[in-house]
Amino acid sequence: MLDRAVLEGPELDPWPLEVALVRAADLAVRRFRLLVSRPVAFGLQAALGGAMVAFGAMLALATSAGIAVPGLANLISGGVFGFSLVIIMVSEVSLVTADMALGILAVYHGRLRLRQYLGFVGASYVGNALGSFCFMAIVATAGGPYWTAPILIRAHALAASKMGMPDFSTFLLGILCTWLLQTAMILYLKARTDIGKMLLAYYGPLAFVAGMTEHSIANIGFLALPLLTQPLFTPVTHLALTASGPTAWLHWGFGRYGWAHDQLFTLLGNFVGGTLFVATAFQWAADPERLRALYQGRARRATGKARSAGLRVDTGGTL
Amino acid sequence: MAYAWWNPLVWGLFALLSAALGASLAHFHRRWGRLADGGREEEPLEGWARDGR
Repeated sequence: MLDRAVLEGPELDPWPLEVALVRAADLAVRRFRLLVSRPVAFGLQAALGGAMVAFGAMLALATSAGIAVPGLANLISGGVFGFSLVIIMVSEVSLVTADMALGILAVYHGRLRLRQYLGFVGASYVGNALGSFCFMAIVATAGGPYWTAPILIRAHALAASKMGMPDFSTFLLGILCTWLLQTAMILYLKARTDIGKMLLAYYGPLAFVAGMTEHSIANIGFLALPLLTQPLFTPVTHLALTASGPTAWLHWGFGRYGWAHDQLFTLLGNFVGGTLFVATAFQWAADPERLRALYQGRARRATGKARSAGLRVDTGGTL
Repeated sequence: MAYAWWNPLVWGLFALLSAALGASLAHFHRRWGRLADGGREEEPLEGWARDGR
C-alpha cells in the first residue's frame, strides 16, 4: 500500500499526475450531477462559459484590428484571449472542450457511463454555443466602435480565413487547438498555488489563438460578428464582398465560407484533440497502482467518517 | 469534396482516432473495473439520468 505522502508528493510541488486525473474526474462528475439535479443552473453555467470565451474573441478583435503584421496581430490576440480560460476555471463554469477531456477521464475511471458522458457534453455544447452567440450578437448590435472599418475588415478577414479552409485543415487545426488547451487544463489541476494555476490556465488560450488553431466555441464568437454585420460591411468599409479571399461573402450553411461547415469539422477535431491526445495520453501515462491507491484511500476515509457519523458511504467527494 | 460535410478523408481519420479512444476505454474498464470503488464490483447504473459517482 502506498503512503499518502508518497502519493501526493512534496509540499508545493505540482500534484502528481494521478491526483490531477482524479480531480479532473471529480470535476466532470460534479458537473454531471449539476446537470441532473439542476439542469437550468447547468445551462446557465454553460452559457456563461460560452460568453467568457466570447469575451476573449471580442478583446482579440478589438486589439488586433489595423495591425498589418500577422505575427504581431496573432500575439496580441492570444495575449488578451488567454484570460478566458483563467476566468472559466476560477469561476468553475462549463466549457465543452474541457468537459470532453474531463468527462472521458470520469468514464475511464468508471464514474460516468458513456451515454451519460455524451449527454453531458451535448448539453455543455448547446449552452456554450448559445452563450457565445448571444454575447457576440450584443456586440454586433451595439455598433459604435464595432461598426467602424478597421474592426469590420479585421473581423471579416479572420472569419474568411477560418471559413475558407478545406475540411481537413479545419479538422487538424481543431485537434491542435484542444491539444494545447486541455494540456493547460491538466497542468492547472496539477498546480498547487493560485498564481501557478492562473499562469498555466492563461497559457492554453494564448497558445491556441496565437497558434492560429480552431476552437468551436471561440469560432462561434469570432464568426458571429462578421456574419451579423455583413449587411453593413460594404457601406462602412467601401469594399465590395467577393467570391473568395479576405472580403468573401460569408453564409450560415455548409460549403466553403459556411458557418455550419466550419463548426462541424472544428468540433470533430476538438473532440479528438482533447479526449485522445490529452486525456487518453495522460491516462495511459499515469501509474495505475497510484491511481487505484488514491481511490482506495478515499474510499477508506469516506467509510471511516461515515461509520463514525452513522451515515451512508459516498466515495464521490474530493481527495 | 474539400468543402463538403461528407469528406471521406476526414471522417475516415476521425473513425480511426475514435477507434483508438474506444480501445483505450475497453482496456481501462477490463483491467481496472470501477476504480472509483477501489475495484469493488457493483450493480451497473440504470438510465441516463442516474447520478454519476
